[in-house]
Amino acid sequence: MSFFKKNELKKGAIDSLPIVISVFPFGIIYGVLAIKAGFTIFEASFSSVVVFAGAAQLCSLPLFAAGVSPWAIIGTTFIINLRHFIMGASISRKIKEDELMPRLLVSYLLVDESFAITSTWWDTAKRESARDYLIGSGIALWTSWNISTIIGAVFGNFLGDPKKLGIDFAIAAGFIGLLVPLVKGRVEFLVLLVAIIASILSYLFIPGSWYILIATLCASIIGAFLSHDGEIE
Amino acid sequence: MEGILDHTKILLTLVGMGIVTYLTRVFFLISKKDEGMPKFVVRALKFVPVAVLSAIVAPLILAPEGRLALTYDSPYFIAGFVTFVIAYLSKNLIVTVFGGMAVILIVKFLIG
Repeated sequence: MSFFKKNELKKGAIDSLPIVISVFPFGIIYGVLAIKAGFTIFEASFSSVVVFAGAAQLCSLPLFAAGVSPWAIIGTTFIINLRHFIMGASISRKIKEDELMPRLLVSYLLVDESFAITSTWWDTAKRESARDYLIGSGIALWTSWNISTIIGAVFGNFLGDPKKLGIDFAIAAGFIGLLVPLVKGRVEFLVLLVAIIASILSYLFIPGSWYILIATLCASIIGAFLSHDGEIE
Repeated sequence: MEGILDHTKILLTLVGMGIVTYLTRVFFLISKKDEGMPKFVVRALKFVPVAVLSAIVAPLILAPEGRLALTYDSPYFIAGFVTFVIAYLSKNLIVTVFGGMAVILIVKFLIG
C-alpha cells in the first residue's frame, strides 16, 4: 500500500463528495426496489459489491422480477456496461504505473462518476498519473453506493409503494440528468432520437426485455456512421 | 413460490453480471495497450452512453404501463418532458432528480 500517493487518494475522495451525496438516494432506491423485485437483503447488498454498476443493477431488477433468463440479464448488463471499454481505454493512457494489482483495483472502481470526476481533474492541470486519484474517488463512491443499498434494502419493507412517493420516477429523472449533458452535438441528438424510437419499438413488440440491448446497438452504430474519426479521448 | 433454487439462481446471475461488468472495465485498463480496435467500433462506443441512457429512459416515460402513452393525461410523459427541461437548464443532477420528483407528484395530484 505504501506506494499509493496518499494525498491524491484523499483529493480524489474529497472532490467526489457532491457526487457521493447525489448517489446516495439512488442506492436507497436501488435497495428498496431490489427487495421489491424479490431479492433478500443479502442479495441486494451482494449485487452492489459484486456488480457495482448502478445503471446496470437498476435495469436488471425488472428483468429479475419478470423471471427473465439469466443469460438475457447478463447479456443486457454487458451491453449497458460496454461504455466501460472506452472509458477504460481513455483512463489507461492517463495511468503511468505498470503494476498489475493497482490496475485491477482501478478497474473495479471505474464507474461513470469516478471516470467523469477524474477526467475533469486531469484536465485542470498537468498531472502525472490518474491512478491514485481515481482510486480515491472510486472508494468514496463505492462506500456511498454500498451503504445506501443496505439502508434501502433494510428499510424497504417499511416504505410504501415507490410509485406513490414518486421514487420510481426519481430513477427516470436521474437518468435524464445524466443523459442531457452528454447530448453535446447534432450526432448525439440523432443518436438519442434513434435510441428512443428503437427502444420503444422493441419494448412494445419484442418479448424478453432485450430493448436496451437492441436500441443501444442500433443507435451507437448509427452514431458511428454519422461521425468521423477525430478526438477520441 | 420462492425456493432455495431461485435464490441460488439470483446469486449466480449476479456473479455473472459482476464478471461481465468487470471484463468491460479491465479490458483496456490491465495494461497500456489501447490500439487495435477498429475505428468504427471506437466511434460506436463513444455513443453508447447517450444511446443506453436514452434506451433506458424512453419506456419509463413514454410507455410506463407497458403501453404507449403519449397523451396530455400521462403523468410520466409530462413529467419526463419537464424533467428534460430542468436538466437542460440546471445542468445539475441533484436539482434534476428532486425537481423531477416534485413535478411527478404535482402532476399526479392534479390529474388524479
